[in-house]
Amino acid sequence: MAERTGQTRAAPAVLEAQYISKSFDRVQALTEVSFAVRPGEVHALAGQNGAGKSTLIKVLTGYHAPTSGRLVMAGRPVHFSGPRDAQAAGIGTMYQEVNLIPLRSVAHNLFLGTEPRTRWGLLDQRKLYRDASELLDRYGLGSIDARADLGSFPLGVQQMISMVRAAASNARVLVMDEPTSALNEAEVRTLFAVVRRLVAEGTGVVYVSHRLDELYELCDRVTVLRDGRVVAESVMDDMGRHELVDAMLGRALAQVVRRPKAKAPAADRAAGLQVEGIHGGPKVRGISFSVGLGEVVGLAGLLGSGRTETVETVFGVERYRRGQVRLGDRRLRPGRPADAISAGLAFLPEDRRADGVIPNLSVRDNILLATMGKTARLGVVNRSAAERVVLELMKRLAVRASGPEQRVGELSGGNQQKVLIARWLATHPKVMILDDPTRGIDVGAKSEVQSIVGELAANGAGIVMISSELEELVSAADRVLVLRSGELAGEIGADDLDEQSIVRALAGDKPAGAGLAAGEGEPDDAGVR
Amino acid sequence: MTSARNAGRGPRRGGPVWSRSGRDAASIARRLTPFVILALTVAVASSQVPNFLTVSNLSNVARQSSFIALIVLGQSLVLIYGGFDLSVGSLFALAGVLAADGSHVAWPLAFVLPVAAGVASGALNGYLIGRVKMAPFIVTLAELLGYSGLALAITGQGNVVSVHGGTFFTSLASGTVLGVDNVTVTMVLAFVAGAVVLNRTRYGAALFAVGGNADSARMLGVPVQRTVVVTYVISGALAAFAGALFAGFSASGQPTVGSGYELQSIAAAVVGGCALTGGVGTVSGPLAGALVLGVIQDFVNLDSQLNDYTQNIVYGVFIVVVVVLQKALLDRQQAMREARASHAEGAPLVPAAA
Repeated sequence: MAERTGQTRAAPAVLEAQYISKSFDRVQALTEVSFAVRPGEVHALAGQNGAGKSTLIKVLTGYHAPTSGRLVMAGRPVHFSGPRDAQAAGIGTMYQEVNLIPLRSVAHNLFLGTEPRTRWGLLDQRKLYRDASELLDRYGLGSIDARADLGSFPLGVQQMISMVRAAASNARVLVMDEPTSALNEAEVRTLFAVVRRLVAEGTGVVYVSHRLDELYELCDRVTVLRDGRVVAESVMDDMGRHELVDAMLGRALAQVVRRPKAKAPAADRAAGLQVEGIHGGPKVRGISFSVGLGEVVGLAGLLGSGRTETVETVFGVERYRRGQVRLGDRRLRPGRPADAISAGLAFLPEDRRADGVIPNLSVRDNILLATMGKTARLGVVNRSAAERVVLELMKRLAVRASGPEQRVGELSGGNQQKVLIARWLATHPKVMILDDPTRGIDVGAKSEVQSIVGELAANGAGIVMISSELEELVSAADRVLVLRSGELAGEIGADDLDEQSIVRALAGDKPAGAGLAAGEGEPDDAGVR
Repeated sequence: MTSARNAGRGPRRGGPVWSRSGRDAASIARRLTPFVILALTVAVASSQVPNFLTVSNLSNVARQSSFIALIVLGQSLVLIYGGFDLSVGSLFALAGVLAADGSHVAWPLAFVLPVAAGVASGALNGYLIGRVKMAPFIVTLAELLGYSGLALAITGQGNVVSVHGGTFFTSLASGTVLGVDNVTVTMVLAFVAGAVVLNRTRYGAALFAVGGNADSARMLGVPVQRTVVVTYVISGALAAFAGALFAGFSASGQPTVGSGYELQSIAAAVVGGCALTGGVGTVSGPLAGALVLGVIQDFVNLDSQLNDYTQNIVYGVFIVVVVVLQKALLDRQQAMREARASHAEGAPLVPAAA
């Protein structure tokens, strides 16, 4: 906190958003957001998942055009018709996910669009590689071979290269969206050093991170978003941690109800899901665990820990080489989701838009998708029986839709998630795997989904729940398994279950407090409980 | 690791070294595959046909291949950006007819007319696909049908149109320079230019970026739409130019020639190492792919026991084999990378002192 950079309080903003609103179809993502970055300051943008940070960033960087409101740079209104315009205007961006081209060389990625040319107008290859090496050297990354394909480096290194690209564009404003989520401690230090240097040179930085420690260490001011609106704006130091977390979550949510913990008897464990030493790909390396009926088992892990890969392998989306997966006394065939489903396993994938709902079908058809065969007799769907099932499930899960006929694409994220859960419940699963079921849905729907999880377990289903939010795991799970680099790094039982113990297991040999953000999760929640 | 090599290089000392060449064994193998296949094809043909490996026959193969090779060049660029172009076959025929008609007015029109049509067609493709976001399949399929109908309509019932002979146009298309056919020289020049465009221009870099991940490319500020439009214009212009050249060479505009070239050109590009998923490719590989096509055709013509259908069967088999091979090599490359990346995960990139 000693090395703060802010000094030019009175300087005019390098980039200012004025009353920016943005809506997609029926979803209002941003409502009259105003926000200003001054030269030489690091401005934190804080908020929960789904608060609208990413949308705001995409508006600032020209990827989305605002529905209303305007952007002003150094006193002049600007209009971006695409990211290219924003870059030309001096806005450099480092996105949350590395979005460079893996099949091209590091140098080509660094200079894509601004490649040095000879006087004949052709690319100057030698200069391209030389400039790239010099640039990497300047940012302390001289050991990276600029000729190697970007895709041959680990994610953290790719993220650093992405930062160098953003910083190298002589940007007046640098927008960094979760830049440290894939970095280790030493890489974070390098990144911070670069940010401080840029700020000292007068660049304005917009900084988004879930790691509160980072915000307090690096940032001068903070703007807090919740549900697409600005709910607080302050000098960083004037806002305490409790205050910040409260602003992010809203008062009501800070009180999380912890569901009573169950301990499954051995017999119920034997009847549930048993995963025995499966190996598959680099991110699933010998994982064993079991989930009893009536029990909620949380699965925690940082970005790249293999948590999604693990459940995909269990369900049969991916194959495995060794080990076995059993449900009760039935052995599931590897790489066969259909076999897992018929045995009574259900899987709610992480990305519901890509792998789950079919937006153009009705709520009814989406729910019945997995049971088409079962409600049909001689190939003819029994409509009235199906209708009863649909209505019952919609009521039980409190799906807010105008009726079974409404298109799923018109529902909110939380209600889409409920439709997906309903689809699986229609198959009467014994064990359900939920991959980050509350990601990106609003706070009300979140607690509804959490209570559905509890109810399912109370009715005798076994639940595996992945979550990036530690408080959610603590409140919903009976015990938590922690994954690190594709291996089981620890198990935390009901008695020891709190956020600190998960953080310790996640961090492993790293010092406590380093790198606790679970990808997009809520870290360092000193004030959350 | 490679620390010995880097020992004493100042700032690099101490930290793990991330110097690795992008050209590992699997990627080299992937690049070489088309040439190995070409060599194998030539070897088989020359072992079966006594006169295959003669200068006259080989120059015959090159001449015969040159027309479709020009189409393959454009098609490869389209594949690298991640699309494909089905309009090139019937555009080839339409261009031939336009060239023949144009030759009767004034010889430069024999080039200008068809190439202008090709550029216009490509611009239309680029607009509909790049800007209106229509599927390449639908747009170019519609043109495949439309142009072939247009070629038949212009010629009235599909008659062959003769080319006005004795002009610079016909002598360019059928002449030789230093004993090499002009059309072969044209093909070589076009591919050299293609290699320069692909590897040494910003457009080429953008092409790979768009094919690698169009969304990322847009966020990185690459002019995605413009890249797509330019690519279809190049493809259309090359197909039309090839059609005009063929009209001059054969002294006639034939409205039904070139049917099937659209798929053959995709096949040659794929055999040449372009991935249908985009982001990967060269121009030298597809040239080899086009020559493989020419060698098989020539072989079938020379061998009395084989008939025309054999050519397609052999080529079909090649495509399957090559695609399986390419996929296996790509997977292997990927697996090696992932293994390395996960192995290195724990190691810090930079010394903590940085």
